[in-house]
Amino acid sequence: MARWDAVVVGGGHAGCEAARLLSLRGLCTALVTDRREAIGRMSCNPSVGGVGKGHLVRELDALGGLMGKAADRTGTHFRLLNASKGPAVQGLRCQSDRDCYSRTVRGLVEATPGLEVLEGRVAGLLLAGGRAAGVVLEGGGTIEARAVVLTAGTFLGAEMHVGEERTPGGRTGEFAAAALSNFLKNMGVAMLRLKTGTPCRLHRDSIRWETLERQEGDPSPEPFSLQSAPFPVLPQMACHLTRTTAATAALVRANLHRSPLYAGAIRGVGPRYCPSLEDKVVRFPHHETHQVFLEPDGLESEEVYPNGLSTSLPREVQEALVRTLPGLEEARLLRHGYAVEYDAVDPRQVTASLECRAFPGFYLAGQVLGTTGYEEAAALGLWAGYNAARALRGEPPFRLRRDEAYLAVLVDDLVTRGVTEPYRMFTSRAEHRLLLDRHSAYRRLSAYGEADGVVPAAEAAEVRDREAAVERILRRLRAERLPGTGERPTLAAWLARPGADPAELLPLLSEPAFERREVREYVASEVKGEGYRERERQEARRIARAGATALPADLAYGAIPGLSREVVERLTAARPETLGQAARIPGVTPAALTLLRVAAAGRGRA
Amino acid sequence: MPDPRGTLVAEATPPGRGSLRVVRLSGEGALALLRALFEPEGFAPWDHPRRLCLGTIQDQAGTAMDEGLAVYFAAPASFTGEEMAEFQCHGSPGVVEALKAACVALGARPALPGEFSFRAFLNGKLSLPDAEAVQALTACETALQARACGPEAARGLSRRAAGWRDRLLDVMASWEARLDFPEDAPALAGAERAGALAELSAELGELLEAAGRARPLRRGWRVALCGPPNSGKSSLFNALLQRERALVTPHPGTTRDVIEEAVDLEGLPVVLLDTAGVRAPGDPVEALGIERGLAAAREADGVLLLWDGSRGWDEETQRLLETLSEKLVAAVETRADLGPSAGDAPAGVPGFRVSNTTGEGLAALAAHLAAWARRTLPAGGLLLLNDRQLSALAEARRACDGAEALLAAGESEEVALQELRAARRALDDLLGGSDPEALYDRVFRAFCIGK
Ligand SMILES: Nc1nc2c(ncn2[C@@H]2O[C@H](COP(=O)(O)OP(=O)(O)OP(=O)(O)O)[C@@H](O)[C@H]2O)c(=O)[nH]1
Ligand SMILES: [Mg+2]
Repeated sequence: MARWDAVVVGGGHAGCEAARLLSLRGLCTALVTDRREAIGRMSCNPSVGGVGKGHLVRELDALGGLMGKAADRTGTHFRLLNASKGPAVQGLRCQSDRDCYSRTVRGLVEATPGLEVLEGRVAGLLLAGGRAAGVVLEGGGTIEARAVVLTAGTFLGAEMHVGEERTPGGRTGEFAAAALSNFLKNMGVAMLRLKTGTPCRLHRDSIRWETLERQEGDPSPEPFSLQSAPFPVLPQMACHLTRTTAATAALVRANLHRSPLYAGAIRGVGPRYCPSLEDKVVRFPHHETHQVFLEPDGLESEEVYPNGLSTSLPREVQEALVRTLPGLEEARLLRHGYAVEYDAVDPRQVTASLECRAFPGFYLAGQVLGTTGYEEAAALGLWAGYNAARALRGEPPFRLRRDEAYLAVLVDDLVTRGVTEPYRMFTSRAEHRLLLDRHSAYRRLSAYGEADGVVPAAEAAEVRDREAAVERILRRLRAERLPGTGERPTLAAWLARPGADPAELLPLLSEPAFERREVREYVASEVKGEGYRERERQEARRIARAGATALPADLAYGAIPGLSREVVERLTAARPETLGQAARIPGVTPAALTLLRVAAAGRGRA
Repeated sequence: MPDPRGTLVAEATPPGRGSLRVVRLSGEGALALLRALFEPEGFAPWDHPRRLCLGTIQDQAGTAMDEGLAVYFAAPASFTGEEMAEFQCHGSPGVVEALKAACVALGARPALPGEFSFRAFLNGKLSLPDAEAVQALTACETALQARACGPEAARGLSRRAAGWRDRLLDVMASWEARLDFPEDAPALAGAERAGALAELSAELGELLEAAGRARPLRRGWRVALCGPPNSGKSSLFNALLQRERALVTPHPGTTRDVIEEAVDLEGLPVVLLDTAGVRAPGDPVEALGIERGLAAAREADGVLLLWDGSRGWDEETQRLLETLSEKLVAAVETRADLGPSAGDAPAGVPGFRVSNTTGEGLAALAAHLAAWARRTLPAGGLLLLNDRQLSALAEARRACDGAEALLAAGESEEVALQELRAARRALDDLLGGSDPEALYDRVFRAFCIGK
């Protein structure tokens, strides 16, 4: 009998969520990491959330994840993006104190009962009867477990590039999991080569702050987790703005041949939405200037993160280049920027439980599945945790619909469509995004967390109370009318008008819950978007009906006449569970769907 | 939906090509069938795909049936994208029937109408509008119809719809970029937000309007023959049809119910409606018949008002003219063979003088009808749309307008985008789906995203 129920490999954002979830479900869990201090580390910019990403963090919180609470406790600058748009596309974003963040996460992980952190480097998987049975460590030791969750981030076969220099490793000063990557390849797991990058870091005291535009956080910010109180905890800081100049672009162009991206040293595919400075200059030659946000690394830290200056040009070029930006004329570099190439597992090899189809009991989550970003990683970690825990306890898998959560969009996109570049969440990826605003996240998801026992009872009760209050207020708004004479619209009709401020209704309602801003905004969001959301719900039902036909797991796509070889390959790779999922696979044409429907119906009759 | 498996056989004789008859096979078994039923005299068609080869067409027992040609198309370089073979023979219908029977005996299945195009669609050889065009062609009765719904017109539609979808995606990409990357993509001014959509909607509207006007082309222009009893309506009906379809007697009140029949006038489909003569009815049945005839005239696209030249233009005719004047295409005086008319039609009414017995004046009348029909067609290119195409385009337009209206009402882009997504779905339905990634290709091409 294995000593552990589950072993989680990696202590990043995915690993921490997965390990904590498994432990909260009463499973005996080991988290194996190279170095204990690296747990919860922010390897790129010290920031959490954004449009789409912020939505994920809220959902994580509703499902018992830790990212939202950690960000709230360590944030030094909070902003609601798209505040002038509707609630569906408003996103919370914060700057966190980098050191404080990882300490906080590590504290939460270490305080989780039943969760043990082990130091070690994993070199391979233990298999027994085709199932995952634990991990093998470099140096020969083993950790036996009934399930393995691999969250290796960008460490598989990682290589860093700065100019002509190449160093193995996934993060400055850390190792590259070459053995593990080779092990997976030898097991026949299909891998992708991806790329990401990070900018140099500047010394706080070398920047001429007084010449730069200041950007403050929101005066009374909203937390990611509605359970966070008091909030904010840390003193708040400002960001600053500067821009690249013609001189920056000229320098980049003159040294392009020394950039590993353009000199051909890098094969991996990088995300188009997180371009390096080299990419920006080459792909948008008509843009004279690009914004750069100077983000503080933390309250005590001397480091400043120049967001927008990701580059892997040679060190001396980076130093010259930084000084072409206003305010950075005398800037000193604390660290240089670099690009990192790494191996990721083609996500079409895992089921919607994130379990490897070829090796049951082997789960993957985070950047190793081809995503980018802390939030996406954490979301996958939590999802894998839910599913691994349920499988270990003999319960049905954890699934959500695409109209129910961004988490489901993320998982479904990955496992059915695969990736060609690191995957990041956008609200536009959700076809029913009007249903997925941040206010309704708890209503949509908390019940799942409560059912699985990972959301504390007190928290669940608080959510239920708030939902009940919102329901009651909504009922009253629809029934009660504005005071006065003449045509008196209902309070709901009044609130539905563009620009109406729910706070003006305070004297009319005398509802204690309505005194809380998050409740007022939730109510306003419900009232204003009701008609549109109803349409979304109908549309979601229509799509669900059309795509509900189940496709047998052993359907031999190659034997269906009329399917092109390319379509057969894609279907075989992704193994869609339903016709709807098949429809989302790129290259699967309406004609191919017709054939699949016929094939599925034929099997149904047989 | 037809079964996409199996080998199809059908006669595919091209119209108007004399005595040549073609039998076509498509599917996995096509090559085996060709080998079994064709004995080449020189080159074997299976060694020389796409080339007509001379030989003997035989039945499954090897008994020669006819001398002929055969051609083989290897998959996927064929119309359907599958293995295909064609036999061309000069033989009698009997030979063609025997050949088809031999194919069926060897495992082929008679194709349903349009099934070859369906296969071509499945294999990505035809877009949906193209495939529909091929199907529509088989149902076309006149040359002009064939031109308006043929593959060329369909390609025109596909091209235009693809262009609209492109532009729609551009609009969506720029809005989505501003929502998902508020710090990277600058906010749009109101006018810029809606301008491109207004243009798109206007173009969709034009096409829909033209398609509406071209509608008679699909179902035919409906022309009612009206007039007093015995004025010669049924006779003219038969004369224009060139067959004895309606009952003709010397007794007034012969025709009791509306009968309709299609006729091809200079390539235009016209549906003629013969109606009961209008007078004070003699019995309730006749009254009912008259009422039906008048109703048919009201719903028709045009009316021919007939009067008997040997009796003259009487009051009854004048009253009829007044009720039907809006629809009047011409007043037709019959019995021109019986000498000069006993009275003239009022000035200003376009008149024709014909004889149903000698055929005098009929050609001029037919030409006038055709010219009238043609005048109602839209000026630009002709395009016949089926109901699916019409409703997809109408939905795309409705959704574009809806998005504009939402923006104008002060809603933010994500709400208006819900409509644009509907517009995209409609155009996707029309053209066959598009990849969600197409949106992001545009976003990242147009905007420098990422700080
Ligand atoms: N000589 C001559 N006789 C005609 C002509 N047209 C019709 N007739 C005759 O007129 C009679 C009536 O013709 P129909 O075509 O039945 O007239 P109708 O208008 O259909 O009459 P109802 O159905 O009774 O309203 C028949 O005996 C026809 O042969 C014509 O142009 N010349
Ligand atoms: Mg008659």
